[in-house]
Amino acid sequence: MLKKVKRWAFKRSLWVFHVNTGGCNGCDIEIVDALTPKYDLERFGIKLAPSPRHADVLLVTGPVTRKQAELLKRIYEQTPDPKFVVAIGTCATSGSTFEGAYNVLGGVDKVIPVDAYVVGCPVRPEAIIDAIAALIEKIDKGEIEKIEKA
Amino acid sequence: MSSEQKQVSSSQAQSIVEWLKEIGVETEVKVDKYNVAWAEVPMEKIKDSIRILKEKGYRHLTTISGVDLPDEGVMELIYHLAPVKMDGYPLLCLKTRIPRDKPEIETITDIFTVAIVYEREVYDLLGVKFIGHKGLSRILLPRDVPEDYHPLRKK
Amino acid sequence: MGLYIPIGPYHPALKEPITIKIKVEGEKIIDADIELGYNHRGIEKLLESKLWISVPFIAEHICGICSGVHQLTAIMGIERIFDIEDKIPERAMMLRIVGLELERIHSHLLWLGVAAHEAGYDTIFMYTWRDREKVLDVLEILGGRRVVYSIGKVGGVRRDVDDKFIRKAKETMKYIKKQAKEYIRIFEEDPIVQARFRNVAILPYNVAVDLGAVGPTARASGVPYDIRAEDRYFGYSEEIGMRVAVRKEGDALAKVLVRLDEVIISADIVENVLENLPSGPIEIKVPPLKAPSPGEAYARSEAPRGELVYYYRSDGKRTPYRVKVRTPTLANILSAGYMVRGGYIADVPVAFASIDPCIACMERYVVIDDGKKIRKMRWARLIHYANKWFKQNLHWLKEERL
Repeated sequence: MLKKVKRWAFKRSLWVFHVNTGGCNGCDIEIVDALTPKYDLERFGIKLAPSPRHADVLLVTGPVTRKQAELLKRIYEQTPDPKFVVAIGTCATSGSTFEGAYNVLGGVDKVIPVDAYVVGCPVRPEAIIDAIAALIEKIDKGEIEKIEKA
Repeated sequence: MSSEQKQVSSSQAQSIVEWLKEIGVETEVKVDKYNVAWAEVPMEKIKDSIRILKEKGYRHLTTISGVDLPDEGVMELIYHLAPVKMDGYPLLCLKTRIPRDKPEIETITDIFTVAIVYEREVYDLLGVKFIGHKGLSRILLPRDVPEDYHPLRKK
Repeated sequence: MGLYIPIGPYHPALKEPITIKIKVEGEKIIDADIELGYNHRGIEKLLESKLWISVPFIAEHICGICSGVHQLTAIMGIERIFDIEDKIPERAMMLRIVGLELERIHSHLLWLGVAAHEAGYDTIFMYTWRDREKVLDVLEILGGRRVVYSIGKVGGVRRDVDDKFIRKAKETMKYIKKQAKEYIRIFEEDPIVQARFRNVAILPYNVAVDLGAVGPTARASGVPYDIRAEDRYFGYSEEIGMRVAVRKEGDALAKVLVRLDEVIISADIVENVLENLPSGPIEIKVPPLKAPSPGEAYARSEAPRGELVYYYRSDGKRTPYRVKVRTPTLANILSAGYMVRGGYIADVPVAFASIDPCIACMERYVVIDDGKKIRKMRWARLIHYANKWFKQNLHWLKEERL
């Protein structure tokens, strides 16, 4: 799979924008870690976008606190189509241990549509790379409807 | 904790009792096994008590905890004080009670500046009004929640 | 010129900018207008509906960088309210210290990388995070996972260590000490680095005391207050190498150096403890902990960012009546507000980062009000602006600051 990803990455790079919706920073640190030399996301042509307007993929962490919900929605609207939302971490997937807390909505899909869930607490850098690589492979294989139809 | 340590703590606790007596506050100071002292003073005396304790060396305010006790019709405020460079002196949790139907108390921000933040937190989550605080407003909850929404209150 | 520093995400379309605004009367701060709520999850209330025994499990997810100290401080409080703290075996206490000091090292290296990145030194960021990975490898063996390592349990620690671990840990500590000394040298000698950190974000001693600053933020201003030395919890003592790191200058450079001093001290502690690890059990068999007798407990510790406090109240039930958690960032927030005043706009990223804030730091804006107009700048753009400005003005800045 890696070979295909590399080939594909030569044609185009994928811009990811990172959003934290009130998490503990565990997943966020691992996302940053994925960029460091040990894991090195950049060699797959994956770059951190400076703003949602340049993003292809939104990496969202955190259980979504009330205040963050509106912000998350705006960021989603600002991201141009076609876009993908990847919920990184158990909090982003379901709220994790914070589900039921009065200030927490309990998962990214309570606010915006999610294309992929990566559970983990926190998600290891390898798993983050794996998830994005799998996404790239699906795009490559023409399995993503919204790209094919765009 | 060794009995020698316990004795040291008891004499320290006695000092605290004496200082409070100086300003007309009669109270018991109990030190637990973990060198944490607990004492309660009436609402009208809490500010003077904190002032004298700071003078005597309890110069660090760790935080202010609020506890809602609806069964007793009160809210309890605990001022967590720590001694600075005072060998053997225990941490001190100084409590006071305020009526639940009128939860107000004088601010201590003129004694401990950092109380600016801790009093706002107790106001936000429990609804206690700190009289004299120059900027009492919510600090954690979104500003658009109803004014009477204080989630740490017991139902 | 007024300067507002937001802490937390902000979007121009939202009505309320998230800012830290200081209200002053002459020289005295009378209030700080702060909004922190972006990360407020409602944990204290949530814990009132969870079993006592669950509290440490939730505590370790409060902060992903210092999950160890949150878990162990929560456990300290539980062991006090269930009245079993004096029965914890020595070997377990020492292993707790090993975990906590390894955490301090990785947290400080993480912070240093982020602070360096915000000042435009991406090479330092890469080096410190590479070094940090080595510490995480050791933590992964100790706890079983690399980030939420979950070393402790009520009554002791979860896993024991063997000679292989001890060898690897000692090797790593030797390497870390070497690296830390090199970073100290860079920060003390490189004039370009100095121009960004020296005499920036000064927190004078008196202000640090008055504003209740804790942790390295206070110790960099000459305040020798460290909970490990004050309370000596878990058996911290000078014999195992504990020393309080203090620097006097109170500027951003002192805040960097005091943390690097602490990295070296922590590495010493880990080496000493593992060299003299007492034999024995790693836990006491606790009876199933259901409900403590009515009462209260208070526990505090020295987290990498400063004093961390847990307060518990029990009414005899299986769920806590009240849990209060006070994190060090809250204690330092007024100091952060103080430190970002004065100086140049380009100093803002370093000044704010110097308290090592534990808040989601992804989306931030700066609102600059110079009395005539209001400008809004995205944090990433501010960093870019700051780095460019520094390159252009370095020649006279060096004169002014060094």
